[in-house]
Parts: sequence; structure tokens; C-alpha cells
Amino acid sequence: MTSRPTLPPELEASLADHPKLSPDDLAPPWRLAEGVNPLDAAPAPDPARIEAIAATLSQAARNGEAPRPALRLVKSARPAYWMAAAACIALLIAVGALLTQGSTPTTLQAPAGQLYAASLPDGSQVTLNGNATLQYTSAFGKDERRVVLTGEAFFDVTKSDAPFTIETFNATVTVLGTSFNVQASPGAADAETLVSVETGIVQVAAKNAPDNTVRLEAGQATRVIRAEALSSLPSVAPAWSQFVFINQPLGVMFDEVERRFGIEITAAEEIRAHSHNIKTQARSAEQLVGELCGSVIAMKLRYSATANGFEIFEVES
Amino acid sequence: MKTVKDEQFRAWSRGLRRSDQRAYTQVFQTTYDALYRYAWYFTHDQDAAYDVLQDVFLKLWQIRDRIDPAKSLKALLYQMVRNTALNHVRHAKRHAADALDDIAFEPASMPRPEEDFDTEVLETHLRRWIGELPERRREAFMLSRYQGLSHVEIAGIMNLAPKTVNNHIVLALQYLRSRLLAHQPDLIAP
Repeated sequence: MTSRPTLPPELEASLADHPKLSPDDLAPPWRLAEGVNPLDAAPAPDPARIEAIAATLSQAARNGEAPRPALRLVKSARPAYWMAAAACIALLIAVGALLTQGSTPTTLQAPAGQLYAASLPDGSQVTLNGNATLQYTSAFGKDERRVVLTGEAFFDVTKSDAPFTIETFNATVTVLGTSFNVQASPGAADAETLVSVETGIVQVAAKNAPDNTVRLEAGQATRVIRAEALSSLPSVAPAWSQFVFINQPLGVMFDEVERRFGIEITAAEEIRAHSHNIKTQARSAEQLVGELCGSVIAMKLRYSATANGFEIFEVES
Repeated sequence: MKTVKDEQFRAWSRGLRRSDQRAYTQVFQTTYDALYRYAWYFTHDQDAAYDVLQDVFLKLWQIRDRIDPAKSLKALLYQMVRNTALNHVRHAKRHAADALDDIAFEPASMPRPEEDFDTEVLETHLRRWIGELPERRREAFMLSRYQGLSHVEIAGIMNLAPKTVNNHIVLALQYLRSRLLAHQPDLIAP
């Protein structure tokens, strides 16, 4: 305590009303009380919840009105009390819809340019890419789990005997419990549904040719163009975009790059065995290889071009 | 949030009046941590604290054209969080009178006597003594000492006269001083 502790000027001024107290009396407790803020006792805010609120707010600011109730209901475990009136109205509408249609659709929509993560009633996790919408009805989860998707979403499906079905405008994806990506872009000039599987097994059919199915395993992908399901993904896909792997050995990813671009990748076995996560969009083999090398933190990876592909090697850090 | 300049808040006030969404986002990103904790201080319920935070910011956007740049936006946010959180507590408890009394404050456990009077133990004591302050005195002191709010701002937030806020803070410090003197007089010695 070499320097004399001081009070904020405002507090010092208010001591005029307390002639028996001097700033020297109150400065030590003021200084010592630093770092014992009662608000520190609050649990730290969950970044995912904050992100969801931020998304809701920017949506509301764009629309100039209250956010879509579906977003709120999904995020909030239980409605706040002052929302009770709104919830009652929503419930009445929901009951009305139930009586007339037999099932109530729920729509989830991700704000533009933002990911939106949600849990489905069966516990399956879905991450919607910007502007994607996902619909399901109150019948979801009883005998079947059926959702309708526009845009792109990543699914992590809970295992169950009830089949999980994703309908896009032109394809039906059926699954028993796995994680995979579905990208449905009906409006685009090259309208297509792209399905890529990370774990488990997925079955894909074109909507108007339900018997023509493709079975996909981890690391495999297929695309449904217009109405026909391709029997498998062509070895060279000129403009595929999604490349998603979660906790897969690099070797599996290299195989996929080889298959998609028709190139060869050479790498040592210890590199191939290293497990890694990546979700990226890449237009060329070199861009993708570069991103893969750059995203591995445990090893310092570099690549060089070979006659028919790339060699990936580790350099000393 | 404590380090954000008043001038920055005034700029955000003007931005909000212009319906500037970037200002809106920046205010949220800068203040959410402190406001969420303040809401939790009343509700002691994380879900409720997130709801309060979201409702306050939705409201802020709705009233953006009525924000007075001459007044403290920071104080306005604290005031809105306080009112919304206390409303929530009232509804939850049914009786408004119980709500304020029931705001739980868990005093830290007593240190064992043989422990040294080191920083950690001192902090444990201080937390307990702050917890012993009357509810409103503790809140005024907390907003002044830790949230960087002026006495006038606190008066607006807590709906008190500025003089009352002065008194609360002075008396809070006087109480802490008396407890410190009883425990460890050399810490207080000039």
C-alpha cells in the first residue's frame, strides 16, 4: 500500500453529506472490494444461447416486428410468463389447425447468412444453413420421422426404429441413425439435391422413381439432378461444393478427394491415420488440399503437386 | 462494458434512432454479458435471464425512435433489465412483496480459523459482508463499484433519488470498513 487509495470523484463529493467520514476512511474498502462483484456468481452465458438471441434480434430488426414464434419455442425450454398470453393464442391456433388438418406443421427457418441449430422432438440435432427451412408436423416421431427441407442442413439423427425421412423437392432421403448433409436447391438453374454422409448408412431415392435407390456409406455422396437419382456420384464432379467430415481419418478424406476429382494423393500412413474434422466449400482439388493441410493443427502439413495429383507431407515445426 | 465510453453509448443512441442495425448489434454484443448477469442476479434462473435479455433488446428496437441521446443508454438498458427481471420474479412468486425479499444471496462459507488471512480469504469475507448489506444498498453499491455507473444513472435505474443512492454507497462502504476493522485492522490503517 504505497500509494494512497482514492475514491471516484463523485463518491468523494457525496461525502459532503457525511461530515464524520473522510475519503481516507472509505478508500480502503472501496479498493479491497475490487474483484468480489456479486454478478460474478452468475453462471457464464452460453455462447450458443447468446448467438440464438443475436440471430432472433437481427431477424426482428430486419423485419421490424417480432420474430417467428417457431424459433423462440425451439430455443426456449419453457415460455416466459409474460409470453403466456402469446403462447395461449398460438396454442388455440394450433388446436384449430389440428382439428381441421389432423396435424400441425412446425417450421424452422435459419436467418440469412447464419447457421441455426435446433433439436427435433426425437432428440435429433439439425443445423440449418442460412435461409434454409425445415418443416415437420405433430405426427413426427410416432411411426415415422418425416421432415421437409429447402436449402441446406446438417443432420445428426438419433437411432430409432422409426425411419427418419427427409423430403426435398425432388428426392427422399431415408436413414436409421447417422450424420449427413443434405443440400436442396430447387430454385437454382442446376436444381439438385446433394447428400453427403459422414457416419452410418443413408438411402437416397428420386421422388418420382422411388425404386431407384442409392445406398451411401460414410464418406460417400450422391446428387439428385432434376428427377433422376444417379447410381453413384461420378468420380469427377465438376462443381460440387460441400465437403464435410467429422472425426474421420485424413486417409478417408484423401480417398474422397481422389474419387471426386479423379486425382491421386500420396501421404504417409501416420498422416492418413490422423482423425480430423472439416466442413468447407471447395471448387478445386488444390484449394481443398490446401485447406485440409492448413486446418490440421496437430501436424504441420504441406503439399506439392505431382504428375497426377498431390503429395502431402509433414514438416518439422 | 465498464470500459465502454459514454460517448460510444451516445453514438449508439443516435444510431438506434436512425434504425441503424449495426449499432443495435454492437450494443447487444457489448452489453449482453453484464446485462445477462444482472438479470440472473434477480431471477437466479438461466432460462429466465436469457428471456429477459431477449425481451429487453426486442423492446429496445421497438422504442428506438423514442431513445433520448441526451440520456444514458447504458442506464436505460440496466433499468429495462431490472424491471423485466423483477416482473418475472413477481409473476414467478405471485406476490410482489416476497419477490425482493426472496432474492437469494448465498453468503460464502466461513474460512477455517487457522487459515492465513490471504487475498482469497479476504475476498471470501468481503463477499459475505457484501451479502449482508440490505438488498437495495447492495444493489446500488454493486452498480457503482462494478458496473461503472454514475450515481445519477443508478438513481434512474433503481427509481431512487440521487441523494439516496449517495447514502446507500457511502453506508455500504462504511459497513465494509467496520467489518474490515474488526477483522484485520492493519489493512485499513492509513
